[in-house]
Amino acid sequence: MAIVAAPMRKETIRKARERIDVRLRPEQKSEIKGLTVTDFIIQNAVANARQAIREYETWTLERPDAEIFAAALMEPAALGSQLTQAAKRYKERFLSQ
Amino acid sequence: MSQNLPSGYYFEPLAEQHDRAAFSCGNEALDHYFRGDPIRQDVSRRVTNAFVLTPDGKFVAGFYTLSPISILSVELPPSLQKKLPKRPIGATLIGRMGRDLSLRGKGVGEMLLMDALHKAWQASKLVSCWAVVVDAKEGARDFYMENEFTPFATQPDRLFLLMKKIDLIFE
Repeated sequence: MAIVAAPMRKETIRKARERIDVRLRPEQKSEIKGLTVTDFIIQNAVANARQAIREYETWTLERPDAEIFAAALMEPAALGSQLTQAAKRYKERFLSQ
Repeated sequence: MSQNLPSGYYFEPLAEQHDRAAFSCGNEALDHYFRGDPIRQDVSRRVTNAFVLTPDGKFVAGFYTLSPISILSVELPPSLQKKLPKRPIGATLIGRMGRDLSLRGKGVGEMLLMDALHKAWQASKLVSCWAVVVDAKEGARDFYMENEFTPFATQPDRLFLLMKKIDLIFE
């Protein structure tokens, strides 16, 4: 097992040290004022990750989807036969006691 | 249909004693999620709740997951905007649902969906909820359409059923 485990660990360490090679033009340098390139990248990665998580938790409906949703809200609610029957079968089996 | 499912099956929250390893719904990604660590991690981190249909507390006939989701509507014309607040509203997401292949054709999917709707409806009495939303996996879209879910336009595999309609089922 040790023989197998050792190279895997080395591989992990090697990967953890991989470099990101970024060169900035002078005007770009002035845009990241006060930060090292590393800090700049990390800050932005974290901000993007937070944004991605927010977007997952809060789902923004674009216009066609929002219209479909709002239009459904305006309609009076009515059950069709499939849901009515499915509900009957479910209630008989699981909610009858 | 459900008449074919033997009696004695019941729903309960997913727990360690359930035989997750034996479960197969035929969808590789869903099976991987349910059999392996992902579902356990999601449940322990409270990312999702998971419920199973079982006859004995071990065998899993089917499962589904519920989690909260917020929906924000933008760019609505004024006539429709009146119906929706400009801030996010709450909904319940059925993120995943699967039925064991051995119980195909016995109406298990219908029972899973109805139980999910029932739990979402119960929860809506405590925390406001506008709709149940599903992410339909391959082949499941028709099933939700048959059960009166409405697909969104830009993401046709995401469908919703309004809580005011679910109210009619359980009130």
